[in-house]
Amino acid sequence: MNYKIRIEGGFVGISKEYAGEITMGRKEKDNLKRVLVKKIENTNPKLRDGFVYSIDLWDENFEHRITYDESNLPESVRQWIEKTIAKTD
Amino acid sequence: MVRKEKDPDVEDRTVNEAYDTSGFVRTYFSGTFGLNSIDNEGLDIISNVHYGQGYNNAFWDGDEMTYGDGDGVEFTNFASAIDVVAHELVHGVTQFLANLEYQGQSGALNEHFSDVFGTIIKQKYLKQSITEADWLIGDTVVTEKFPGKAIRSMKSPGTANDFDAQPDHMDNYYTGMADNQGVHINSGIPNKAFYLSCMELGIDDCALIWFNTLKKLWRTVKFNDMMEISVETAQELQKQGGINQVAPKVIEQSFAQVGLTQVMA
Ligand SMILES: [Zn+2]
Repeated sequence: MNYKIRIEGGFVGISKEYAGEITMGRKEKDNLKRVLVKKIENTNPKLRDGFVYSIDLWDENFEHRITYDESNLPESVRQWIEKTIAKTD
Repeated sequence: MVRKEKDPDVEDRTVNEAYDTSGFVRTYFSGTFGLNSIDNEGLDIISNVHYGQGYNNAFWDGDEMTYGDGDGVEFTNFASAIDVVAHELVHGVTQFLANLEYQGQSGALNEHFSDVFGTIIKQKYLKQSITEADWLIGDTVVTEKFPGKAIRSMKSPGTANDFDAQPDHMDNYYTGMADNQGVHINSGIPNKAFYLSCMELGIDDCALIWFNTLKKLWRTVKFNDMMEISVETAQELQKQGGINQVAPKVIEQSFAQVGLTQVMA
């Protein structure tokens, strides 16, 4: 699975981009896809200094782009991002 | 809940640091302006620490503060930095006093007030004079590997690190869409005006002027409104004998130096 994760904004205000290819088991991949295609929940208008997360994910039969903010980023996607960027140089 | 009000220290140093720094901020606002907590109605101050994994950020969510530990490569423990803690808490104060919309110029002013009181409270915490102070925001959350000395500079916006794009004059105003139309970018302009005012009037008079100005602002306020209201507020405070009599002129000149001047009717 190819990915591009862009994290912008926040107190620090310095954008970071991580890209690469990640090997995922079928179950993990299906679970992630299921969450990513869900309707994004309402944002919290009182949030200040939250990050904005843009994710591009694609392989030969799936392509998806989505943007979350700190208040509506699903926990499982947050964990996937943390795990993925920890493996990115 | 790891540590609540009046509990003794716990084992986790970050918890104690968040507790102590938040307490210092609350004491500053109650002692200086008689503000009873963030909302002036005794709201509990709740800090969440160790958020995520290597999370390089701190934020206010409308009710509580949340801090990351940093990735340990470029950033470190956000909860231990007095200016970061004050910055986030003041987002709460601003929400209850003026609820400045978080985009464009009102958003940049929202960020500005957090940096203003972040830097004031840092100087009080460190017992520094305005000439001893470094006027940096977030200098203790960056590591040696980070390409810069801090996140922002009130004294010299745009110079804190290699990515710092803050302007210090309206001539270089950021007009792009990123960062909610540059809320952390264009805040450099009023930040510089605040620094210039402090160098003439001292930090306590400026704190009083800025706090009383904030109370008068509204959701969609613009930089020019901020300049006019702060001059007006300085005039009122000066008439009451509370601040230096040259304050209105100094405030006007400081904003003029960053390209914000009164529009003649
Ligand atoms: Zn902020």
